[in-house]
Amino acid sequence: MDAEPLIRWDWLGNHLDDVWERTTEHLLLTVVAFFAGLVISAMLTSISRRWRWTATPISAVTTVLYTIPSIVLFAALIPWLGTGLSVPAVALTTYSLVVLTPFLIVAFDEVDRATLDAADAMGMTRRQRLVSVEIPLALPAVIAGLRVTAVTIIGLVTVGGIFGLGGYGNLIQDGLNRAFPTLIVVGVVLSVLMALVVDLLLVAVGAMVSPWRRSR
Amino acid sequence: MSTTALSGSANATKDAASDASASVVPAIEFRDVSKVFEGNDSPTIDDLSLSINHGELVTFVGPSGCGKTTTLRLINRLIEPSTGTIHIEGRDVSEVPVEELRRDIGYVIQQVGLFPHRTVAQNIATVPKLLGWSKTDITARVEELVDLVGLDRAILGRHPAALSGGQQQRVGVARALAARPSVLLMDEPYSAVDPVVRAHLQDELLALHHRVGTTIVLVTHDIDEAVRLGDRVAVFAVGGRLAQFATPDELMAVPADEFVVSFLGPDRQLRRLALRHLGDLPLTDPSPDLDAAIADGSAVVLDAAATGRNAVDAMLDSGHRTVAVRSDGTITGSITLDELARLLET
Repeated sequence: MDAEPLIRWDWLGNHLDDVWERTTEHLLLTVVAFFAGLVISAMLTSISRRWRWTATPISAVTTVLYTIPSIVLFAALIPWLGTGLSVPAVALTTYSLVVLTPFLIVAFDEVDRATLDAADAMGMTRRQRLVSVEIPLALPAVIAGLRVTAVTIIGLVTVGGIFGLGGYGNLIQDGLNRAFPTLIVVGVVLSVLMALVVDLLLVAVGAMVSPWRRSR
Repeated sequence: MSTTALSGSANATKDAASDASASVVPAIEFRDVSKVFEGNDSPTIDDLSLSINHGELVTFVGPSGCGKTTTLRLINRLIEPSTGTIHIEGRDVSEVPVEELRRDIGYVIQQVGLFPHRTVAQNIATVPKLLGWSKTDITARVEELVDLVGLDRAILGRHPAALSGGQQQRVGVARALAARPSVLLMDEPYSAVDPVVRAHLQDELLALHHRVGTTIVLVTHDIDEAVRLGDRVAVFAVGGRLAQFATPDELMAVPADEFVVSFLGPDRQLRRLALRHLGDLPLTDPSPDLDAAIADGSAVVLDAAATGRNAVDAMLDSGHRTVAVRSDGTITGSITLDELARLLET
């Protein structure tokens, strides 16, 4: 028997529909987890800033959640939520907020104290200070956190595929089951490509929202 | 252009005050103010009472931990007192809405604290924008201020990171003065710039104060800066005790206690002389004798802008006992070492 080649282009040509469906699944899960995680992280960050005593418990809980292996979390959620998209959505959102929250807290903590002091002394209200000083100055560090989060989620969607939960992971799992390398190669390559493209997009957004950092 | 209620009443009081000197309302007044920070046993400010007049430049000086910065920050309510009240133009600051109060008080800090994501023009426009001035008023005011603090209009579009330390400090002052505040507070504004730039900025501040006449409170740990800039100097001792509040000359002529003596250092009388310019002293009129002394080199000639201390130094250096004073190229008179010494007795 001839060795199975790493990639069979004819298969790929005949299954573009399939690949496209996995791509949209993968992207959808990523986007949902990314934005849900962002919203929850923003809330946790603002809670920990308003009531300083909550900062320690919040970071303790997020750290503990982070130590749960993703495979275990996916497996644990399936009996509760079935095998629809809600399992990966919940699991991925959890990782998303766990990765992002510490970044957000640090991003806002690192805004120069003297600058905030000046903003207060000039008679800005809390909201004016937040919108016109704190958020713009925290943004570069926030973007750095969003990049790590996005790439992490894209990778974890693939892990979810082991349980048939959608995305490129399904292709890889199929390939493993059927000893068909083409599926594995396509899944891995596209997953990495998506991570790269999303990362570059975020870099571009970062450069757009903080033009002042380039004019130094 | 809108002004706050506070500055409106300030101008009214100022006019009234200049007529009736018996009932002058101080620009800033501390009444029995104490501040104990949570977790501290001893007060940072201990029963402080002090009034600052309109248009005065007052310096707060003292060792670190004496509460001078805390005292400054009580004025714009960045810190609230534990007991006592602070009044601006007779109004208790705790009764003025805090944002309204602060928009009428300029504030300059050591680290400058410019907004790095905003241009110089946007930084200067901060308070006028908060007050809702029109675009044309803001633009005109920003340009006026950049000229006032001696900056080139070309930097208006730049970001703070592209400026030198001295330029940033000037922008900080322009930003603080933007909405014509009743009071300007400065917290160690020059300790982060090098000595040459610092001396420049100090001269500029004096000129600026002369021109705009705003009441200024400046905190420093440097006694030389305090006596050089202040119309009056408040010396704070550790524990938030006001050790003395007097003009620089009074301070050095009659220090209130041992603490002030040690804080002022050993050469108080020379420092007093350093505060006096020869042009301002009572001089002996020019005479043929003086002309002769100058001609044969037995009198030193100094410019009217030189200080009494420069004169003493020049006399000790040359061995002569008379200094001739020259203003715009002509000799306006002379003064002797004995006469300088007698000036210090009064």
